[in-house]
This record gives sequence, C-alpha cells and structure tokens, in this order.
Amino acid sequence: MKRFFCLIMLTVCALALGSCVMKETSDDYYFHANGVDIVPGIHAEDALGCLGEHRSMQSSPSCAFDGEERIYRYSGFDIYTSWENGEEIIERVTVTEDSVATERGIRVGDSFHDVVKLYGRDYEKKGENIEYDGERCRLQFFFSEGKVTSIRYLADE
Amino acid sequence: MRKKRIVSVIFSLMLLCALVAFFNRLLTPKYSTAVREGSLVGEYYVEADEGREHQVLFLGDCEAYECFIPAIIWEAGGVTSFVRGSPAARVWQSCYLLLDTLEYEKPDVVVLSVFALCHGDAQGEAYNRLALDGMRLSNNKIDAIKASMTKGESLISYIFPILRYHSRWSRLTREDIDFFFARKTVSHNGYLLQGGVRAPDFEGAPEELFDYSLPTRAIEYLDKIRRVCESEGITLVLVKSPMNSAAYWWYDEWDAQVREYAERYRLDYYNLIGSEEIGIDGGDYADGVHLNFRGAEKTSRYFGKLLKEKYFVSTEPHGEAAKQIWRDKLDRYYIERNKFRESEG
Repeated sequence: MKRFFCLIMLTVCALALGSCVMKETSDDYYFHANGVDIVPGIHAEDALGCLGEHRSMQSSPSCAFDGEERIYRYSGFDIYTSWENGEEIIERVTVTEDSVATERGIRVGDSFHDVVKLYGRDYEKKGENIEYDGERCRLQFFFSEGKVTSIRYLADE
Repeated sequence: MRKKRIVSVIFSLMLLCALVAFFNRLLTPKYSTAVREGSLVGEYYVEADEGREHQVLFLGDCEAYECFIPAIIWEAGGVTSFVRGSPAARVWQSCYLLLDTLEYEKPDVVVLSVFALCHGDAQGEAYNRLALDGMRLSNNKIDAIKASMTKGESLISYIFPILRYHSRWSRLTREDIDFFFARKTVSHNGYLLQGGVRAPDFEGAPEELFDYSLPTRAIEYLDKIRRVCESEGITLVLVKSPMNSAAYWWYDEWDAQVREYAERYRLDYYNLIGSEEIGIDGGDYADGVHLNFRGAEKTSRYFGKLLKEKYFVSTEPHGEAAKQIWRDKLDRYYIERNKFRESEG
C-alpha cells in the first residue's frame, strides 16, 4: 500500500514538473528560470503560472482590438507578451541581471569572448550586438564595451 | 424561345449578383460601434463624393488619427484637412492611400506620421483588413493588398470580402442589421475621438533594440511617397506626434535617421515629443499610449497655427460656403467632445 502510494505521489510530482517544462526544441536556445523552460511563442498562462509572483507588470493596449501588450518584470528578467487570436502569447524574454544564466552559462557581465567561446562564430552582428539563430528561437546578446548588458530570447522570424 | 432563354440566364445572373452583394454587405463587419477604427479609411469617400477638397492630407497610423483633429486645425489656422489613417498602418498602406486620394483631389501639403517607418512587415491580417477593406476597389487598392498580404491571405478575399467573412454568419450582431444600409460616421474628418485618462507607464528604460536601422522596405515606400509628392507639386512634411510610451518608444536612433532623410531631401520634419509649446502631460493620454481629446486638441491647435504660418500664410481665405461647412464640422466635434467630457465627470 505504501509503495503504491509513493508511486502515485511520484507520478503526480512528475506530471506537475512536466507541466512547467515548456521545451519544444532540440537545441538549448530556451529560457530557463525558477524551474521553468520557455520558448517564445508559447501560451503565457502556463509559463507565468509556474514562474511565481512577478515584481511588477506594465501593460499597453493594442491599437484596435482587445488584448494588451504586457511586460512582466521578475528578478533578473522581463517577459513580454502579446495577444493572438484571444490568447496571451510570450513574445520574448530579456535577461537584465546576472542572477540568471543561459543554458550554456552566459550571464550579464560576461565578455564577448566568453559568449563566442560557448556559442561559436555563426552569429549575425549589428553594431556591438550579436544574434544566434536556433531551431525555434533567436538568442541575442547585447554588449557595451565588450561586456554583456542583456540577453534576449525571441521567436524565429 | 431562344430570347426567353437569354432573358432567363440574364435574370439568373442578376439575381446571383444581388444575392452575393446582399450577403457581402451583411457579413462584412460594419465597424460602427465596435472597432470603430475600421470605418476610418472608408469615411474619406463621403467628403470625396461631395467634391470637398482639403489643403492638407495626414497619413499614418494611430499617431495620425488620434493626434490631429481637422476641425481644431481649421479653428486654429483656417486650414482644411483630412486624416487618412488606420491602426498600425504601414508606410506602404499610407503610400497607396495617398495615391487613392489623388484620384479625387490634390492637397497642397501631405503630412506623414513617421512612427510607421520602424516597421518593415505587416502587423497581421486583422490590421490589414482595417486598412484595406474600406478602400474603394481600384488599381491602388489592389496594389495595397498585394503589398500588405501576409501568409495565408488571398487577393480575391479582399475583392470579395464574403469569401473571408462568410463564417460571420453565426456571429452576426445587432450592429450588422442596424447599419446594413448606411454606416454611422464615427470620425471627424478621419480623427477618432478618445476619452479617458491614463498616463504612460515609464517604469524602466525603453527596451534595447538589436538593430536600430529603419527597415529598407519602409524607406522604399517613403521614397515613393516623396517622389509622388514631388511629381504632383505637393509639399511633403514629416511629423513625429507627441505620443511616446515605453511600448511604442521613439528611439533617438530612429529620429536621427528620419532627420538625416529630411535634410537630404530638404523636407521639413517636426518631432513633437516633449514640445513645451504643446505641453502634453500624463492627463492627455487616454490609455497610456494614445492621446485623449485633450492631448489631440493641444497638438492640433499648435499644428494648425504651424501649418498656417509655414505653408498657407498667403493663401486666399475660404469662401462662405466652405466656412459654414467647417463651422458645422467644428460644432459636431465639440458636441461629441463635450459628451465625453460630461461622461468623465
């Protein structure tokens, strides 16, 4: 009986964790924080529910239709959402502080050399900033004087 | 016998056309009470069909139709105008609306709101429909559709909207019946009045962009607008409205590019953000992004005087008939504006 009960509890935990795993890509170009994996383009409700309480939220109405564009600010990162066909979708995630790292370990404050060492040279460059194109997500690194100032995950074009 | 058959076929075809026209009209959204922005483009033709011409044409997205009030511009500067805009309008749509307008009249000045220059792609079908469904069928409309269509959209569904809206059959509302024969006029020469007060939320710095270059496609259509104005002897003026919010931030890098373009082609460019003469404050925003009627009136009074002093200083005054038409427009504007004011308490 005890074993059966433990099995049930383990199954429930696995299901609960599984519902917070949003990874839908075979590469590691996804945002991970607070036990949540997010790829831009997914429904916001599930992901935001797993992330916990946000520090603040800003909203702006759309020009004509119902729905808003929102910025959910968390400790170390911001999540941008918009509305599509009546559903709130995650548009992009921006890492703003060094409390959160990419899956390969890059944080705000790391050098350009650190990024290229881990992500390679197959990037597009605009000014000081570089962008890597993943399977379902683009990963942008913003620099100032050679140091990462922010990191952004956004959907493929 | 043969004659009877021919008559029968013609009659059947006419009946078919009538049915298509009927259902087309019934099923196409009316935009008279909900999503009023959808009526903006089409309302121009009411003026055009009455042979009314305008000295100034405003083009752009909500930065045009939520900021410039033709009735107030006339009150302030005696200059007549019309705003041809739609939500999230792209530069190519403004370009074809300009060409469409030129089929009916030739304004002296075209004022292009520049915020749309930051977009190189369509916003989506829903916004395309707001910009294009109101255009009368013409080569310009077809070109506008072709320039705007996103994946999955079809030209034929814009020419025969019933192909797109047939599924609305199960979602018809009272609005579709009430405004079947004639739509309600929702704008004031293209300005859409907004009430409410909500200041922009500027928490945090504006989001950093990966690429600050204005899209090539947007600049190509800006070039086209410029060339059309040059060939028609129209003065092109570029303007950035005083609206500025975190979600729709006007970056210095964009401003510099527009300024450089204006200098290169000797165009006037007015960036109205932070203008002390206009004096926009938090109470002038309706929803944190768009100006309410207070902010639009401040902007329009300033711009009306500017238009008069810079572009129409030696223009002959309008005749009495035109003045009366504009007095009526002003009265109509103030009646609606006062209703909004009263409802706000």
